[in-house]
Amino acid sequence: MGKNISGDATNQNDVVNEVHIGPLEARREALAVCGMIFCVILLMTLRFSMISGSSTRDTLKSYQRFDGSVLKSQDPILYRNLLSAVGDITDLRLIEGDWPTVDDLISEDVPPFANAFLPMGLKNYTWTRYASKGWVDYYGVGETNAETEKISDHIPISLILRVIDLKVKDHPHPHIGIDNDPKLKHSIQVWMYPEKRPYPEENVVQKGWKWVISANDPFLNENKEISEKPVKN
Amino acid sequence: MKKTKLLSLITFLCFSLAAGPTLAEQCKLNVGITLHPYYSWVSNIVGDTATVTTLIPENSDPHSYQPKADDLANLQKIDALVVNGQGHDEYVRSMLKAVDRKDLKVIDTSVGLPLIPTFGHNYNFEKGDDAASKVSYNSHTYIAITGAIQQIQLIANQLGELCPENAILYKKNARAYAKRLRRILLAALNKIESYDTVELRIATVHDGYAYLMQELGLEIAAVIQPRHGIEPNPRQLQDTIKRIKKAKVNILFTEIDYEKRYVNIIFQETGCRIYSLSHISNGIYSADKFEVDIQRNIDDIIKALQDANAKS
Repeated sequence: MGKNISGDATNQNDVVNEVHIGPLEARREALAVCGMIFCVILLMTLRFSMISGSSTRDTLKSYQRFDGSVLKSQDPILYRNLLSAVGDITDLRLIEGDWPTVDDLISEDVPPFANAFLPMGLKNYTWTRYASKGWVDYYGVGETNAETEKISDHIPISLILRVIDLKVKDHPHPHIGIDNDPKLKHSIQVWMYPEKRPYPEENVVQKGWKWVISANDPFLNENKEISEKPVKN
Repeated sequence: MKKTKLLSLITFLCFSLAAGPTLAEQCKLNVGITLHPYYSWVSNIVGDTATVTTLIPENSDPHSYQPKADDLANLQKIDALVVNGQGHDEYVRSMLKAVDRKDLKVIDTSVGLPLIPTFGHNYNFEKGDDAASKVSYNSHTYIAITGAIQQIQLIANQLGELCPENAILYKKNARAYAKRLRRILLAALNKIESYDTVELRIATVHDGYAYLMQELGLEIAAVIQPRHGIEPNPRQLQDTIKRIKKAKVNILFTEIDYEKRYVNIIFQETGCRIYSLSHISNGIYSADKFEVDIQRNIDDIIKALQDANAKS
């Protein structure tokens, strides 16, 4: 029944090819295999990094957050409206020679300042303008009321729309683009604090506010630089 | 001496008159567009100071359009091209590659626009902010008013850079157009406020209306068929019905060309009321198409809310 394998193997008529591998060659072979494995892993890593693209997390500064990570419930509507208001703000400044007041924007029907253009849950924000020659902040803070309480997960937040004229010397930092940028006239920023907070003046970063960045922000797409300090003349 | 002066003056005036139209003609832009709403937006921005060129014929579906040689000829004669930037006009990519025009100003309307992830692909920020870069975004950025205004301003600014003589006019026109659009939104919000929307479970057959619903303060509970223009087979229809029941949907928005027989079957099986919305990217090009179609969409949404409130 059972075949004696070892008996076959020891049969002297069989030709047995024995390969002797000395210690030195074995080490070389092992090194070569390790090298090949390393190369394969390296190539895989390179390919993976090519597919995944550059890490936007590395691009973001510590005080920047993606809109989807910090804006909840109906907050994205406010954010969208603030960005849509920028055209009106800069145009009115061009016409009037000064940054428009909140009342100007309300009379021009520009949301979110004109809150009639917002859903019920967002009509509880009050806006204040803080303007200087070269930049303006529109600071908005929400109050809880009967309407907002209907929206279970909606907590009123604090927001600042900051528009900086990069051609005017004195303005706050950080901002996208360089001071007196030849390609960029204005730097637009939306800053937020996830609860009711007083106006932080220029020191948004030091006071823990976060700069809200959309995933398609020109800063990410066009690799625009961020100036964190004024240029010294 | 007097004669010479008079002659010089006449000559100068003649030259000035001759030069006048030429200067104006230098700034007669030809702006290409890839989608219907962009035709309306650009037409309202430029008025009669520029030509708006459509890249694909009327009644063509931009999702499945295959460019022809004539379309490439159109691309050769334009100064600027307004594109979606999130892939809704994918056909233009190969065309741009084919013509290889370095001098063509491509205006990506999605730059700087807050984007909404496609339905079911929400951010996963527990894994870090980097997740945002791996999310696919909803490309229907043109089916909404607030987002449209931001894009209109962007187009006006960029066309103004190409044609500085008309920059102020473009801004002025863009603001006037934005005011009209905002009035549509205001009227809609005023009506929506009078309805109770807490119990509503809204679904769409296509993930194209997230931006519009967001600005109206309405939440989409489910997207039944995330892909555009699918003709459902019996099994898919059965699946659709199952999903509607599971999501407890009471209002379903289909697309205008969604077949009536499917609508009837879904209504019979689920009791869910069905309304249709326009994709605004088909039909005849016109300056008022965007306003007409967005108004129609809003009217249908309000009708749905009205019916749901009457029922409850």
